[in-house]
Amino acid sequence: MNDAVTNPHDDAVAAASLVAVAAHDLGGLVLAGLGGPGRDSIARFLEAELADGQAIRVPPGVAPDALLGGLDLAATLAAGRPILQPGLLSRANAGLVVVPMAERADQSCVAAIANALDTGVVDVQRDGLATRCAAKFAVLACDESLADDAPPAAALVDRLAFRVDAAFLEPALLADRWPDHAAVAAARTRYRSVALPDEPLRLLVTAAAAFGIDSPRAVLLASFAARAYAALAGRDVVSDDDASHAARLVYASRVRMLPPDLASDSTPPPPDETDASGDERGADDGSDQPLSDQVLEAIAAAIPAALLARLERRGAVRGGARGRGDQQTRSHSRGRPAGTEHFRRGSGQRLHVLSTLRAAAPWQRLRGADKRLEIRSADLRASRRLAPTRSTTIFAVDASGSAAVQRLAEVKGAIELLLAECYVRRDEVALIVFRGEAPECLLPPTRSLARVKRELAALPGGGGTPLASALDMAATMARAVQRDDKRALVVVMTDGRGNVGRDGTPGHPDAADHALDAARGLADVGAATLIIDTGRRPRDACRELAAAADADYLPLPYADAQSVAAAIRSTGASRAA
Amino acid sequence: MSAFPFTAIVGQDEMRQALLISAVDPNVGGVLVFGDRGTGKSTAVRALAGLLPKIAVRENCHYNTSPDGSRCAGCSCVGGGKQAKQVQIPVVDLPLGVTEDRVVGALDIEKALAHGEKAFEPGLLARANRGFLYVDEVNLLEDHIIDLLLDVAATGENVVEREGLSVRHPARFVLVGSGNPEEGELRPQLLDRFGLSVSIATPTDIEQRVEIVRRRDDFERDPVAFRRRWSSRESKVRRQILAARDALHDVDVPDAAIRRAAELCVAAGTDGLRGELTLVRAARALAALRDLTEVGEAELKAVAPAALGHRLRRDPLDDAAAGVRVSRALDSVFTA
Repeated sequence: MNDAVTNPHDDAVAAASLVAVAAHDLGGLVLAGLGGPGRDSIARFLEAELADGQAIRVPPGVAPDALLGGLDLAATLAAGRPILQPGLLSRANAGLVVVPMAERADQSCVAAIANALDTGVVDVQRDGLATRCAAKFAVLACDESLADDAPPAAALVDRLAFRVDAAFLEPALLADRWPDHAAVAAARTRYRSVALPDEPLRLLVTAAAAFGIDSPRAVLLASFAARAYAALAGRDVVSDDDASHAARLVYASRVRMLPPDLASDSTPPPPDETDASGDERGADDGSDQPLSDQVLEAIAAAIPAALLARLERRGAVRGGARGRGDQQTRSHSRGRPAGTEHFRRGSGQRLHVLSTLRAAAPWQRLRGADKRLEIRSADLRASRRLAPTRSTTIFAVDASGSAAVQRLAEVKGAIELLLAECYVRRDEVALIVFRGEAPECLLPPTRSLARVKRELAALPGGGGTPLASALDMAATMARAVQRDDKRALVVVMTDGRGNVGRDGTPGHPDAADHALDAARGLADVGAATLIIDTGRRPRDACRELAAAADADYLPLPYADAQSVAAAIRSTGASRAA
Repeated sequence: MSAFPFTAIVGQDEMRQALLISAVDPNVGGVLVFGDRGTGKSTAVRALAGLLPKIAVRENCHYNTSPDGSRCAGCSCVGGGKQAKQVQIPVVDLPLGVTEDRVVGALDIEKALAHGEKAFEPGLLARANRGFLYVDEVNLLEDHIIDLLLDVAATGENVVEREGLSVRHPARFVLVGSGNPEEGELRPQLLDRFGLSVSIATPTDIEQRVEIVRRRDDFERDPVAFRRRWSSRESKVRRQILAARDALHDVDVPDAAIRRAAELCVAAGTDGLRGELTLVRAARALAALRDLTEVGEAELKAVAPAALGHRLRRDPLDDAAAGVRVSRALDSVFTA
């Protein structure tokens, strides 16, 4: 029923053409890959078809008032009543919104676009304005994320029917495939009246189920695509063929699982390998699992909950941050606006003009102002901004021989628990491992926790303990994180028995002093630090280290020795089998 | 923009039941709908707006006050009795990116600039009085806006002290929130303000999924005809809500039912007394909807998951099991 081989150029053109036909139902498309002639060609086609060549670009760091609309100050002052400066989304009404670097768009921006896609309007309730503006548009989201980056927000991607990988498309091959303008226009008129019989609809639904696609929205989008497909082909009724083409285009990027007997089925073929980047957190199969559940459970019972959160609060108190919540801190220049406050001269705040006017307005008569506004310094208001402070948790893990290889499993388990917490808090995670002569940065800060888990699973143990240089490395990394305006958390897991000097000399006589020195260096960075003692029993050396690093100290609780031993035996047995 | 008819929503019985209960008895305290993307959360809430009966309000009142009560201060509304008018129960959207001044109200900038007059321009909280306040993507709402909501939702009154204004006005509303848990957790304080919380999942039944797409597709193609086809079912539910609102105070809650509710809360391990209260109120509203004169066990069972699921003491390692814990409690209480 399907063509055996599909040309990516055909698919790209089909996806873009369907969007051109049924823009508001299909939402738009995600263009993956770095900029290039192929991507430009698709963008130009959509821009010409949907926006008369005038697409609205929504840059990733766009401010809410630019996006949704805000007060037009000059006009407001001239008219004496609030005048709206329309936002980008309402200016894009009946047109096309291009989101370059969609993976960088922040959550509030994505939510605003998603809401407009759902409702077709922008509800402006800002700065004394209360109005609704029409905002029906299609979205072209450019996804330039690379393997390490977080992909664009699911809330946006989920609402756009197609994903096209534009990296390897050749404009020359695209050029003679585009439908002409008249054909698109005719299909657009026809689209509304195309009927969707039960048979192809059922095909769409069962195909979605077979590929593990849960969202009813995906099926709905596929049904719109099928009708657009029929309309482009000049038919009034959706055929099974239209449906399977549509299913292939819409479902390709959404596949969660492959049906067991793919070959014998009439359902669409699996997607090309190109979109494997989708769902990394789900990649949690048994082989990655370094520990048996038994061990994990034993450790889970022993580790206090919300360890990182508590640590971070401590860090916030120590750092003297003035933030209200534990997630955000006040900042003058960055972050989302969060109300206004009195303006303090020379504090680097940004003046909030509307609130200033509001504060001044009631007093104009009293101050005897006639034509000109009289504004006094007490009227001045500044925007208060809350910069979301992301945290980066740096794990420095002692995998040396002395760190009791038999406890390495527990350490890994403990880290997995902490990782789960990081995931909830959307933290970045970095992993430093030290064994042998020098520490190694296994992972620079990343948000892909799946990668951390994988690295951890493969972690071997044994060798010397270059504790001092590991602490140095953690301190350097924490500084870099802080420079990036993020909060650094350092979690060191060691038994505190450093035996490699700062210079990498094994068995250095002053290794312990070097480690203490390095710990003091870490204290200077001012990052919240936790030292987890992984020794057989809590040791003074580790406690001293924690004191020098101005860190919290936590002996890794010794899970009931027998059950741990039994668990390790059983892991060992299953490995051997 | 015409909304999708409430009665045309396929499945999602728990969510529909919770929304209807909140329409019958606003004192139940709002509904939180958490679920996957694209499962029709916001569709259902917007559909509810089309279903709500009318209420009597004073002419020209900013705050939708009832003609029976006393006049509201600082409002241009005129007296009760004959000057009342019938309006649809408001469902006010709290859009993302809303600013503080629009939520609580602020100095009317036009009057201030043009006439030097100090007047209060009511915000969304005023408009939502006696109605619904809907926050889509409630977990993405900014913290300082949430703080405002928490305060007002607790007291039922909006107190504005800013820009030389000093205004207080009634702001009793049913808070309805929806969101996707993957995009962020909800602050426990806000969670607690919702009377009922339902989490909805994608239906897995093929026939049901075909029907969802079929109806949605029909609606998108011709909303007017679609609404006409569903109008008689819509008005039937509307009458049901009205009748239940009238009957609510006559529904008897026997001591046995209250005892059962308390037992349930103990068995499920909820904090505080709000659980029992919500459970009983919701069961009473459901009994009214079912045209019963007395709350029975069936009603308690039906509302227990929504009333208690989000009030269980938190167990960080056993997070997904809220529903399981409630049904365990149900089993133990009702078989004993």
